[in-house]
Amino acid sequence: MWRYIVKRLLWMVVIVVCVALLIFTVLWFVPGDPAQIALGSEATAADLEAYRELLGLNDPFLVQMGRFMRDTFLRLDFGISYSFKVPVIEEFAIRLPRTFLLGAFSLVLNMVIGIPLGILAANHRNSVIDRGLLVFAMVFSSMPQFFFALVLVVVFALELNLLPPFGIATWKHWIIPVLAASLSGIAQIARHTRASVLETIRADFVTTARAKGLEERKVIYRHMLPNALIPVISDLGMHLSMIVGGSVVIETVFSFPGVGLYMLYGINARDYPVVRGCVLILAVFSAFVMLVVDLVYAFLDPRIKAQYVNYAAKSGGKAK
Amino acid sequence: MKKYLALLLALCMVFALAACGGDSKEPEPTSNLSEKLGEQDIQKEMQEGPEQEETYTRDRVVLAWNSVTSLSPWGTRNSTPGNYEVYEMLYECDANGEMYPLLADATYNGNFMPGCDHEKGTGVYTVKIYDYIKDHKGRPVTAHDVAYSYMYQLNNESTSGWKDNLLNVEAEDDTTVVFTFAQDQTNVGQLLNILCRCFIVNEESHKESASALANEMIGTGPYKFKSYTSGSELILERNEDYWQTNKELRRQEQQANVETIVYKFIDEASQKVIGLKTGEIDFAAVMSAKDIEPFLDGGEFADRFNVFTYPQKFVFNLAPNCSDQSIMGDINMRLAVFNAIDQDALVAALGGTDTRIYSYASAYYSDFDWVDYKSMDNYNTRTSVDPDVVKGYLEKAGYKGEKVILLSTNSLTDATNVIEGMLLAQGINVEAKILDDPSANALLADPAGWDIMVGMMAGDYNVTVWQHGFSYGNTPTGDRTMYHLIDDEWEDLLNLCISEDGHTPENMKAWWEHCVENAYAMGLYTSNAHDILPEDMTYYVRGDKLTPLTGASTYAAPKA
Repeated sequence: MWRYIVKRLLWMVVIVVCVALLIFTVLWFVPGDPAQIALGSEATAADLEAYRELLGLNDPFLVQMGRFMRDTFLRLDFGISYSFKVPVIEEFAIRLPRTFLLGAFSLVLNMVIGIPLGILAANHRNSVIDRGLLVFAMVFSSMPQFFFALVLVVVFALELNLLPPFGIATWKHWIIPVLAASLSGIAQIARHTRASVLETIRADFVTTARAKGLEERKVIYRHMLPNALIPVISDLGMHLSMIVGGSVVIETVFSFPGVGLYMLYGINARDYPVVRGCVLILAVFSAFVMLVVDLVYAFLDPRIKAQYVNYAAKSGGKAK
Repeated sequence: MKKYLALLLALCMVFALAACGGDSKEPEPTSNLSEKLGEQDIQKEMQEGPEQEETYTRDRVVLAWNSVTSLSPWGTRNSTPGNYEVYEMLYECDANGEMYPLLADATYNGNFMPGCDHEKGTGVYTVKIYDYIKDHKGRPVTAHDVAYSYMYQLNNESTSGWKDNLLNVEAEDDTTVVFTFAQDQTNVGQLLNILCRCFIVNEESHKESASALANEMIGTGPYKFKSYTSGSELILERNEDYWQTNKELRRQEQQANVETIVYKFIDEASQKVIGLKTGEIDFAAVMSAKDIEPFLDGGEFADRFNVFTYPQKFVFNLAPNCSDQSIMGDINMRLAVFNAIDQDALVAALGGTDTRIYSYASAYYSDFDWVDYKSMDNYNTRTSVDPDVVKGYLEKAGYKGEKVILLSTNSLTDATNVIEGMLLAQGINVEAKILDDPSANALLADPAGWDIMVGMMAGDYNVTVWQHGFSYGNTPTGDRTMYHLIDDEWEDLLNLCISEDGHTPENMKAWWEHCVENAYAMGLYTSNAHDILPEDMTYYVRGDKLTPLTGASTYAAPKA
């Protein structure tokens, strides 16, 4: 099993290097001049040229790429942001915990509410509860996040005056953003859980467990759920990656100073160090999350663990 | 059962759509909104000046401001007004654009201006500063720090119009700074662009700062830095140990009438409105006309706020691609396009709160009244569109329906869509390309990529607005304008207008006449901005570029 983990980690390095080369190349071809954005439309050609020289943008493609790869992988230095004027890694270190917390709280809500709702709907199939869940899932899956966000702000901040509409100063400031980030995830997790449980509920081992006379609660939690939750775990991992990497909408609406807004500034200002740094770190994060999801699979299902071990053995040239 | 479920869902959608329609009131007609804005007494009150001795010290003011990326005093385009509360320059401009000495010694009668000597015909300017300036760490700020600040900004930060002009800044002694320019600063706004564009920082304080003042602020101003949460808020507190203790020399802009100023970084306009309504924020600047209605007289929140309306400095304009690679290289095509635009209808379509203009010039600038643009007879002064005139120019141009690319940026989407409709209505096959700023600027540089640009330009005077738009110096080749126009005679006229001696009404008029004779550009409108002020603010102080100085503003004491 350790061999499998090490192989995955090595592949992660390869993936990150490829992502770095790709993002650098893509940004090279994207139209827009960081100097023009920094200095404005009234800047003279001499000002622009001098500022490009200062930023090192006049060097050839390979020189700039070599410098970027050396600094990133040998010195762990993503450079200094043109706009923020502080190292990208420092600003990221301040913002990532906030976005990660937002993602983590949303994930907890997704699990705590979405999974039980899905189980409830599956156990009461074709009932009012089941249909209600379907309506809920359809509505909250299809409506855009910013719409929820603004509705929550109008209701809880403006009309009821219960919660603040923006900022991050106190725990109360986090409630509406976390809710807005969670709602569509809860809907999707609930639907997937319902489908997965319905598939498992017809399995032979569940019938056997019931036939043995086990309590229904034990049938569900000890036998059914571990099997039904495997596809759902993959969903949860994806949701966490999506929230951390795609939190721009929530962060913009609530003026939540996280990674999403940071990356958005970078893109709009053609702040190459910011965009490269954010993409790389998010790539590493997503790859890591996927590895954790796979390991959780292995923990829950011994068959999957055996598959991993055999795969690692075969790849290493030794048959088990 | 499924049918009922589907019906229920459909009903939910219908009700949701109906609810999204907003409240039951009819939208305010644009003429009524314009009248309401004109009736606001706050404009008059704010011009009468403060009763400084009677002002009340407010405990706290919370402002909504767009996000900033850095607190650095140099080279950042998107800074907070906090920079002007914490840092100071040698000279600054007031809300009318007039320079005044701040760190420069106002009591020194220089031969050029207060605080400044200059040997005419040379590029040498000598500025005297006070000998008792200190920063928030208690360190003295001397001429050496002034030289340090200028040279740091020149060599390490983005500057505009400094390269190849400002050669050196050095300290002769603790209170004398010598500026050496490549030549005498005889162009309009040229010296202002140097003396009023660099905050002064103590060298040691700057070097000691871990982030080089990107995440903290150490200045000399009436406010000092308290805390900063990147992307969230900036808090300043009153500087009780402000260096300028001479009341006669301390201007209104240097007052501190609030104990704590909080800047909340909010980009979403609707959130700013919600923040004002819930009381989370007290002040919001540059709001659009559609957001301010609840705060106008008679509005739901009028008892807590006042709306201050003022013209912005942007000239919104239409500029054709004059290269031979564009269909607009033909003067008849340019005249056809310009004559197809109904400016009054454009302003009405955009909400009615902007001001139509009759030239590429704005009343915001002090050199506007020099020329009576409105009395001239050209495409920019028409009050209606004559389709026969447009058709005539199209026939002269031999236009056969070729595509015309209308280039613009995201911030001008509404205006661009209206202009596109107007041109299509006159039979001009136009396609709008609305891009983000960097992409639009990249395409602008390609003479084959676009035909007409909807843009906005600003400056310190109308002539500098023209310079920013039409000077050869703004392009890498230096032999054409950014709109690919080559007209050396017009360029010479512009250079004449921009010089101090040539900045005259006659030359300004000649430049504009040449422009309309050749249909090089068209001014469309200028916009108004609206600041929402707390109701207890009795005098609203603004600084350079109309930066709100809420600390320097005056407030009435709360009613018992």
